[in-house]
Amino acid sequence: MVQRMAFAIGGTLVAPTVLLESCSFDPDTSTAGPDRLAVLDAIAETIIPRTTTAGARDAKIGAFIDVMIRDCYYPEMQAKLNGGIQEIAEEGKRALGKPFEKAMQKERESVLAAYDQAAHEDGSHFFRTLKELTILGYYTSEEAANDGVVEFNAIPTRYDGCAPADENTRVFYSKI
Amino acid sequence: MAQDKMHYDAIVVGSGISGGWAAKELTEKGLNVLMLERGRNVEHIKDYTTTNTNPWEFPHRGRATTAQRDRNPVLRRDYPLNELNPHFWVDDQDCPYTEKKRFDWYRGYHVGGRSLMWGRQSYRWNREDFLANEKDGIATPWPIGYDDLEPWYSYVEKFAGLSGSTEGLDVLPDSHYLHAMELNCVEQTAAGRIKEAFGGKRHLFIGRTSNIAVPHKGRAGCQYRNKCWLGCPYGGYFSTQASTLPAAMETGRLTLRPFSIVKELIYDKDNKKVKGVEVLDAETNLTYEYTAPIVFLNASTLNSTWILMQSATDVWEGGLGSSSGQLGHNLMDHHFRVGASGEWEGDQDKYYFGERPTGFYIPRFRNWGDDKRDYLRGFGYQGGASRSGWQRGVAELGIGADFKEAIAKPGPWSMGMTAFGEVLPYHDNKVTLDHDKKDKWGLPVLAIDAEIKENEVKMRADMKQDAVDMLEAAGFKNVRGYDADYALGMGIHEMGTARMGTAPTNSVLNKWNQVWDAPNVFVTDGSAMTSASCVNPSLTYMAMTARSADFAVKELKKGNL
Repeated sequence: MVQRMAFAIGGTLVAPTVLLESCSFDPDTSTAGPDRLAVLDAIAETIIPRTTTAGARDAKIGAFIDVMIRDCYYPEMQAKLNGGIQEIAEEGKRALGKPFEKAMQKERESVLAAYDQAAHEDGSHFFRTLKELTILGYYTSEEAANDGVVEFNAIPTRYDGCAPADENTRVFYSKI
Repeated sequence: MAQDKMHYDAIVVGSGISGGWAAKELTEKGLNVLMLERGRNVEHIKDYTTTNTNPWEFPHRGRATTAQRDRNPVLRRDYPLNELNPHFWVDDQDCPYTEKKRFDWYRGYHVGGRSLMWGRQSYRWNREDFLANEKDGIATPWPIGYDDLEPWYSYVEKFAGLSGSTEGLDVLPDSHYLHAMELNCVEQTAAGRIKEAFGGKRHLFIGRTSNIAVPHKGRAGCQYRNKCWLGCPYGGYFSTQASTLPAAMETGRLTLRPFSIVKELIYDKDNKKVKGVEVLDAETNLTYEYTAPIVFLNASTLNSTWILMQSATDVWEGGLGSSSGQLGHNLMDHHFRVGASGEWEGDQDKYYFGERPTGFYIPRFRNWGDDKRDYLRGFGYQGGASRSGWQRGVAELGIGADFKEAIAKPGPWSMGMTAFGEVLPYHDNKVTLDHDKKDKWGLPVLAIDAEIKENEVKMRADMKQDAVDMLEAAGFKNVRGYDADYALGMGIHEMGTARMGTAPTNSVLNKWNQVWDAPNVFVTDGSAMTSASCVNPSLTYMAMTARSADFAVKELKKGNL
């Protein structure tokens, strides 16, 4: 038997609260305003657009990026990332003559190509982190799993170390 | 608490791997046992709160938040700080310690302890491991040999359930296996090429693990999710909850008391024995005395030593077991984070299905047989081959539809291996009590003063270069060696500080894990280790605990305790 005495005296069974609280909110409840979310979604969608399968906007990656910046980075990095997001919005408007988030995929790609090139050459570039968060959020999303973008299998039940693969084979995963 | 039973046949302090075994063995042999756990209860399956959480349900996809990082200056140094299982790692604020030198101490204070999050790699020590101190003329000789432990390895293996392949190697004696998990196709090719390139002296085979993918003792078995450290609802690996606790509960003779911090052992100087333990209730801060003719200390390496240091201080200033001058000394770990990785051209028509909860293992070959190096002891490797996933896209050039499609497909194969090396038992690698710093319950904390030395540093050069050589010999391209640096403790294989030995003058414990100065106290966790070997230690703790429990019950029945 488990001695229940200790529990009855008024404690709780819960582990350190700060740690558990970090898991207790929904990514969809990002506190970002609609303007910021629109830009973030547009950046993410440019990197991972909707095709025959869900895109980053469908997977709410804008909100995900906002939550990640808010919760997982210190002020210096937050400032760098937020500055970069603003820079993309302004550069997009300047280059395209309309709000970045209202532009077409090809137009947005033309703007982000330079940032992607810069981030490819410099791992500390802000766009490297935005791309990383987009990829992380999207490929582990429910939408990517449901649309078969990746082969998510929560309970594989078996292991095959030499399974056949072809050009249609998708990244297999069960966990993060 | 008036109705609380205060006297038992035996008290087990700690509920992790060794504590669980002590409770199982002692109850099955007819004793009424009280198992004390300083943390909360964790019920099998029910309290594995994140084990079935989908990836997208973690708001940060597993990553630690800055709030977590700020609160946990130790945990943040490595993987233990994360979003997936923070409930299984000790909060740094509640349980501080003092680092005279950097020492990473990753703890689990809850029922099951680190048996819930452990790496599960399970290896027997070899015959030479027990002889090495004596042959090398360092530290002190082990009071037991391979033959003393061999029947107990067999005993615990059959109950715990292991998977692995039988290889017939003296350097890594085979265990009893229920089955073997399989190498993937690149690992299989590499195994053959490495064997050929190094004259049959280097062996690569599937890592031996306490994961089992067949039903065993009421456990369904591994489903190849590789989410073990979240707790496994299928009982896919050995843990207190999946294995020893149900067996002990089945006897009807186990009482488990969570939130019970053992402050000290109550020493009876007239009888030169311990008569029980003083417990601080972690929730109420009230103290209780529980008595028993036998006490098993399984509080984890450093915490068992902490309890000894807190005990019988009116007789010995340094605590129970300090008369040898060895209590708190000879702290060890396994040093690692050094190895190599390389890329594999080919096998693009091969992939894997399922997530395997083990990798490959390459047993020690240095200072073995006729190989002689300019350092003592050796190391083994753990590693694996895999195809890259979408993560590779971060560093690649590209955005848009084609990019999205390309990185959703498995990329090239690569293989990596990390060496795990033996750390020698140095007398001046030690822990002491720091009375100036207190934990959440006002108890003094440990001060840790330990580091790796010249022998380990020399070994690390081989640990890197040998990995490079093997990968190149196996045909990998762009092979890169690495040394990601290491601080003692990172291996989470703390050993020593209350070592076994041949005499009260050279050790804290005798050959049956009894404290020389109080023979009814048995210490059978990692603190008992006299040297470290280079293989993962938990299986040895299991065997040692079962052996010691068997002895303790026989002695009790003879009236010797």
